Amino acid sequence: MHPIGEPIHWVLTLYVNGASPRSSAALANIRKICDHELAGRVDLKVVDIRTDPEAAIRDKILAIPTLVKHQPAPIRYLVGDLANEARVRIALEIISVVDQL
Amino acid sequence: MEKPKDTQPAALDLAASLVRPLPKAPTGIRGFDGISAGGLPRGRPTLVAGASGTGKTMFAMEFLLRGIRDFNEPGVLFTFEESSSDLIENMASFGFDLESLITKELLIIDALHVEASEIVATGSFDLEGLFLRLEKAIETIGAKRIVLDTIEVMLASFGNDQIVRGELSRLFRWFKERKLTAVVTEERGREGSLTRYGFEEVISDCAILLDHRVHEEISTRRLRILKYRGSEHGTNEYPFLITDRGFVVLPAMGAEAITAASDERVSTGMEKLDNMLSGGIFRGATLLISGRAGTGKTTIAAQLVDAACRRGERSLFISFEESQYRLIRNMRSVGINLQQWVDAGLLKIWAERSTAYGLEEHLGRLDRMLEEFSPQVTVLDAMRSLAELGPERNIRATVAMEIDMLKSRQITSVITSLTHHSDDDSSAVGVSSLTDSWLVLRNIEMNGERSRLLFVIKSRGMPHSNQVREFKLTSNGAELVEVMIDPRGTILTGSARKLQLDRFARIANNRRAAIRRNQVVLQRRTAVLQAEIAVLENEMEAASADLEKANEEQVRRQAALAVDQAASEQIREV
Repeated sequence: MHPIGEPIHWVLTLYVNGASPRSSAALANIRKICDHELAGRVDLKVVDIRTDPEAAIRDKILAIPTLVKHQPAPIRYLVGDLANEARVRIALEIISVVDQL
Repeated sequence: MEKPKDTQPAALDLAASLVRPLPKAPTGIRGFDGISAGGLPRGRPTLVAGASGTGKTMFAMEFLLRGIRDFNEPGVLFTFEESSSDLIENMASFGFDLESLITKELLIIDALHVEASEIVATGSFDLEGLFLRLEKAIETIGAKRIVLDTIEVMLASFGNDQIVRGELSRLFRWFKERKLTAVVTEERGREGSLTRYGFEEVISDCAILLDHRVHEEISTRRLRILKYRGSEHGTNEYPFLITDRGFVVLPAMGAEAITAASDERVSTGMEKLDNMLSGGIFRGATLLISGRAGTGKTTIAAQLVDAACRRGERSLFISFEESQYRLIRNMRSVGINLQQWVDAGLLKIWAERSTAYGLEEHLGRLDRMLEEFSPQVTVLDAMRSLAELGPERNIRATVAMEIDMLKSRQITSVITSLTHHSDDDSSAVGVSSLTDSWLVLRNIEMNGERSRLLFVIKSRGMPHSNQVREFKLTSNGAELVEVMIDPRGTILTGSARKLQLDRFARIANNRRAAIRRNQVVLQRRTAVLQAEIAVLENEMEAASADLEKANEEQVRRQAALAVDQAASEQIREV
């Protein structure tokens, strides 16, 4: 996946639909992760399809909200409001220090 | 469709006048618009369900592409299965130039390959991204038709069935609001249910099921319209083909082509056979000729073709048994010159080994041939050869399809069937109910030679002879002759027939001699009797003359007596 010893960097894009309840929940959920485990190691871009519909079309995003993990590879599409935190962490390959021991 | 009976007719009439006929969008798919009374519900969603490989994509694509090409309705395709380049290539092989349609802004293909392994369901969502995408595509070209192929691939990857149901309902409503004639394809649900979510057919205005059964390497495709809101439709399972020219539902009739049975008679080319059938077979009818090998089935068929060509009609002779060269040579030996008709472009001989193609391809090729050559008469020689393609029951299905294809085009057809035992017409019986007339040919062997007999077993809708005829292959083609039946009831043919004829001739000669003798005797006797009559008449005349003379004497004497009496009385008074 990535060479051992090199710092892992996350590149994420979250597609939301304005401030709809699901979009707001998704944004809050990913912010929490970015601000803690991934602090300083993540680029999170938020695309609002209301103001930038072309982006969703270009990126072939069908479900809203969707969080795309571009880095680290492989690419993953996390569909939904990210409420299932365990699945989100696995999909993003966030492995805690405790798990590694 | 069933119509309600015995309800107030006035109310019904009123209701009927209020209900406007459902607007339809013709698909242009051959045969489909006929069974659906005009196509798919216009401005509404149709579900096309079926297992993988049943032809859903083909149906949807033809609906879309023919819509653009033939009905001037721009279309959008969202495909979740195929790549755009694969699709362009596939459809090109069916004669559709997708790239030019895209360039002309009549078609948008949006290939949205969804890799399920890349998707992780993490909570609730909606399909706003899909709606945005659909909206944009439709606005870009002013689409009237839309296809989503196949939807459950995309939906299943998102995990949450409850949300998917809600979004699917919203999608179908959205089609209606935008008056899009939509075709949504879906793979059949597992556990035998029609669809994955079990309600897609409920929210669709029309639901079509495609089925593809492969049994012993014979593939049979069937289409059924499960529902059609507000419209009548055929409820049968209709066989369909995917030919090199696309989707064909059989019988491949247009909505308007409800063929009326013809009263016109077509000659079989054999006057005596025509007489047995009281004038020939009906145009557009199917004649089955069954019999063992060498009974002359092909010859009778060729004779009919020869007669058709002579009338200037185009004929198609499909031979599974012989090459064109051999067929022409064999028929020439019985005085039927087929070559002249081939040369004149009136006859097309299609010789193929039935095993060279699958059943479906065979039907596809037949359909194409009928379309391109448009014959008025077609021969299929011999049906039995199709048996090489699969089990017996499939022959019936295939022949039924062939007959449908021929009948719907009003083509007069002859199907020959090879039977293996003299009394085994069972294979023919299987298809005989599909045909209008049925001739059985039998070889009989007597006194060391073989003769051919012809029976008319049935002929629908016309009086026909129940008699058997002997049928001869002469250098001028096939000829029918009345059969001889000897006093024991045995049919006499060939030289036995000739012997019997000689015998009859002798008997006739003897009888004629006897009659002549009797006539002489009669004449003599008449002369004698007439002489006797003359004598008697003379005697009678003589006798009556004598009697009259005697009577006159008596009268005279009586008068004299009266005179004497009067005189004597006068004397006494004085």
